[in-house]
Amino acid sequence: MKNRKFKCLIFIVLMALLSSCMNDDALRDFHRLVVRHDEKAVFIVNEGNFMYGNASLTFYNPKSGEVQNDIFYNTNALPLGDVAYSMQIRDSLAYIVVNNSGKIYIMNVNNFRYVGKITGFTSPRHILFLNSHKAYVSDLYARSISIIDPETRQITGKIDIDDHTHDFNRHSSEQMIRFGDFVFTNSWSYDNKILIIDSRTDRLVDSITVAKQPNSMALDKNNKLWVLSDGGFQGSKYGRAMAALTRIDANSRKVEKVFLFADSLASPNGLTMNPALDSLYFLYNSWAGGKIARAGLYVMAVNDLQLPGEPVISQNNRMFYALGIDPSSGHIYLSDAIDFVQRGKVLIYSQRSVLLDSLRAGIIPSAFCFR
Amino acid sequence: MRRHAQIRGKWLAGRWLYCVRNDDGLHYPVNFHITISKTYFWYLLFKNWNVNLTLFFLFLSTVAFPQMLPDTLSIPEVEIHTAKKLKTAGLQVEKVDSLVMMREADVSLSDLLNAHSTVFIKSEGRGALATASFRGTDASHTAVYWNGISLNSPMLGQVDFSQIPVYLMNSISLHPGASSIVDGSGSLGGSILLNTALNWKKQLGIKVMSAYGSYRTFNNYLNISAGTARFQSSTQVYSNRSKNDFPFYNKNIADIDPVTGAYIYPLQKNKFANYQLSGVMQSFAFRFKKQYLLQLHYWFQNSSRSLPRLNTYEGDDYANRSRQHSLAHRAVLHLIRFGKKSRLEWNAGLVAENMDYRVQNLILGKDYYNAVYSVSKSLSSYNKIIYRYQLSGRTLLKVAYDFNFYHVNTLDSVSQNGYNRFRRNHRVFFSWQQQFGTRLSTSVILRKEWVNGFSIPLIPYFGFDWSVDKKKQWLLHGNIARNYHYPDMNDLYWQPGGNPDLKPEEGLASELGMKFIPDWKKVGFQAGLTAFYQDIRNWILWMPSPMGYWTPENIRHVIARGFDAHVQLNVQINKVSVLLKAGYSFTKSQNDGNAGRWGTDAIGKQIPYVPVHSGNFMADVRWKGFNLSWVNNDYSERFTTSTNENSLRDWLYPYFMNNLYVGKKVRWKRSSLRVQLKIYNLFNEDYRSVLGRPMPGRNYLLVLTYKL
Repeated sequence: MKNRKFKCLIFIVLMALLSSCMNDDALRDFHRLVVRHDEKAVFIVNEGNFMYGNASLTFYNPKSGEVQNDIFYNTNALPLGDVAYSMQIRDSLAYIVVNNSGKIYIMNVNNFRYVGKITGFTSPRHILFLNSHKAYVSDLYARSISIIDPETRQITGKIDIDDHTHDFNRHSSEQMIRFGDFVFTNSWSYDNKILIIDSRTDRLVDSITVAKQPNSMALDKNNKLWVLSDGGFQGSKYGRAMAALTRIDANSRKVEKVFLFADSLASPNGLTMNPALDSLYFLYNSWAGGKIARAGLYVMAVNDLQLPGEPVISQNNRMFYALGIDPSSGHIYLSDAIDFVQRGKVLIYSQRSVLLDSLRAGIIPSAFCFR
Repeated sequence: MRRHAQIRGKWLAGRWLYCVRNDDGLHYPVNFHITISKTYFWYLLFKNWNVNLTLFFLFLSTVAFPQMLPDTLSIPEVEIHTAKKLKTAGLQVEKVDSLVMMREADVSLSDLLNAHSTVFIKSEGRGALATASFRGTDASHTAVYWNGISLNSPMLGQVDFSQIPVYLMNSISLHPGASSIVDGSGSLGGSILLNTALNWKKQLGIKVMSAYGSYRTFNNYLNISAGTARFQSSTQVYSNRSKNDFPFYNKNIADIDPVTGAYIYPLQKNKFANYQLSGVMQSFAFRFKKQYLLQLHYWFQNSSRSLPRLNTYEGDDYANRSRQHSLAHRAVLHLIRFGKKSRLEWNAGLVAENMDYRVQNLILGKDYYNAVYSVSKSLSSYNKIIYRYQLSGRTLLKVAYDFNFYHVNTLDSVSQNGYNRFRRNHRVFFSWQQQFGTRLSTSVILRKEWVNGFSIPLIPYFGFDWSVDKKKQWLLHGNIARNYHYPDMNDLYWQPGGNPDLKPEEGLASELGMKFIPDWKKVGFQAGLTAFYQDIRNWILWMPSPMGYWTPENIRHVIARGFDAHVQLNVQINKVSVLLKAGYSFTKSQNDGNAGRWGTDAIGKQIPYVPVHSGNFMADVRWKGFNLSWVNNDYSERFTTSTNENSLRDWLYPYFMNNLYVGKKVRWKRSSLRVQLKIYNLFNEDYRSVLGRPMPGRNYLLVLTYKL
């Protein structure tokens, strides 16, 4: 009796020993993706869930319709990081800004190989190349723009854009647009400024006040800078104002026209220019996700005297998250994050808003990069 | 899932969930009111407990106490609450075994439940936020009560189980599913009852526990109890801290070797993960006029912890530094009047919590600026009157009225978002327990609740127990209840994003089970199998929109079904006592469609972070004061996506965790000393609880327990 129980116990112990011993290395033991893509490509940056570290990169060939998900992980067995935010291609290298990992990953765009990184940022958002030895990296919390050297992959300096108030993290920097020797950047988070940096001296030289929370910008063929403001958050001490589209003359830096959105719940985002630089595209939505009438994709010609009244593509029960326009074909890329915890959809439309293709990308497709 | 969303929302807009204060100065009430003689020794002991209990431990065991002790041996403990003759029928109670409580006295409630129950613990890492969910529901569907008052945050509706040390509690019981209706409403998943009970020993009792472990972990605990047959006092003081800087190979980042091109994975430490937790709990019990029992409990806790960054972080080392700090005062007054056939109870509680959470960045190499600095203050008052009347030996009636009041004031001084709101909550309760014949008993419970004038629909419960055989070894039990969970205050008022139009979450819970408790000689045995079905509609989820704005909506409809099984065996063979205990839970918690927008691909899929299989096993062998315990707990894979698609990158693969405890107890006169070595993660396995956070490899804890 006693002996049998003892044997039983030994058996259970052995079972447990055999069933256990998990090793993470097994997760990296897979056939890596080996490819060579030199043709036209669209890269979809999927930001993933905040604090999950599940950002990913999707490759799409618009000619063949070929889709490859998770290309960075499948090639390198390394996760991209937490909240991949934007991507820029320079020569054969892609620079992927991973916001909440404080770094920029550098990847070969042809074979998706991880070739290096630039680390040490606070909360990086976008990268803008100025020359082969200089690029700017905007930042949500650093109150400065980092100057980097893409050759040495080091941070070489910081441009102080702090407004020296302790309120609301001012100033943040988001998108950057180069205009001659100057760089325009929008201060979105609890802010209402377009900052102007002199790229020769790397100094903040001017600022333009716009409607609250400018979240995106675009420059048209007439050298007019268009700024889309979401108006801020309801209930915040910073205050909620009407969302607005602002036209600024890039030379004189004067606000020429402000188009106010009529609906007080509107919080549009994703301002993008078509290849001819004569039409503005943006997503019209509300913070309260789809609870606004006539949500969707809107188009407005740069010469229009008022905001468009109807969407060219209605959101319906989808959740449009990001917008991109292919600078060569003019095709419209719209992402639908669905429920935010599954692989989102990307819908591809022609310039005339005819659906051409759709695909499943990664979790929360948030940015498009065209080659 | 829903809470993650909420947590994220907080991160972006600056929220309270993780809170910090920068100065590490700890302030405690200076005078502990104790009833035993206040010698200089006591004074010293109390004054310096915070500094180092260890010295006192040694001191106590060798010098001071043998002379000071009363000459009686311990008297068997008498529970204050006498066992109920009529129990609520259909009630499923999973009481944590007293041996488990003893073995795991030095851990947090999250670690205990993780290893010994089928409740799913989602832990953000060692010492970090840990939440619990029953049977495929959400963490906010788990109610926790300490001596009758709720420990759930009125803001988030959930409890951080890493912040509850097991040694403070004398008993821990779980009420899964509909069984939670006896404790309160809103707990769609289940409830957990924590009790600090006093004994009626007429002598001084001292317990000192010191634990030293890997990663500079120090846990110190002191309990002094004393009293008479009419009056008892128990004082518990404690302090846990850990640097928590375990090493790990970070394979989520890599440098490239310039020559070979091979990846070099850095060997890192779990930086910025230190925690400390300290506090005091004072309990008094008075018996007077033969029929009155008054208990008072006061619990103060000070907790501070740093929140590590994800293992993919390669940003500025002086940026994204976050700390959370919380202070909590909790007091309970519990008065019971025992009548011949009736019992009247009055329970009043007050909870004041102050939490702050801060994320700091060093800006331009000069100053630290807060990216988030959120301060949340909450005051909760709980008042309950319960009257029970035993109509006959077969009928028991109970009525109760609750009035709870909450005030939350939260503000992020960076974004200047916050809210300042009150909530008044009235509840009435009626219960009828009826015995039919000798083998069948039933219970009917009705609850009605109003929140700030909003009338929540009637909450009914029906349960039965039926002894299948005459010897009453086989028991068939079942219950069914409708339950509602009113949105928590953050759901309604959070700025920005709170949605005041939210409806209560609506749950239907039922179960049917069989228990076998045979009357075997020399062998204690029990086994149970329970099948459950739960249906939750209007499940609240926090949904993001572009640029990091989150808002909650009544979206999900979830059907959870499955079964729990457990078996326990106590046997004594010669001088060897053996306890074998195992539990297994099968949980299919599926998305059954969503109101409005939602991809159809998620329908029919397992809810994120709910494992289908979870199991635990414990073997404990005792012989002549030696003990050897093996604790094992297992989880099948958890999904992080609603569609259950996983890549290797974000796969929360199954894990089988094993801990081994070896101990020896020595008695010396009236005192005893137990030395226990605990080996956690015995096989040094890699495992993941959530994405992006490393878990420690094999680690050790040496626990010394001195008892008088």
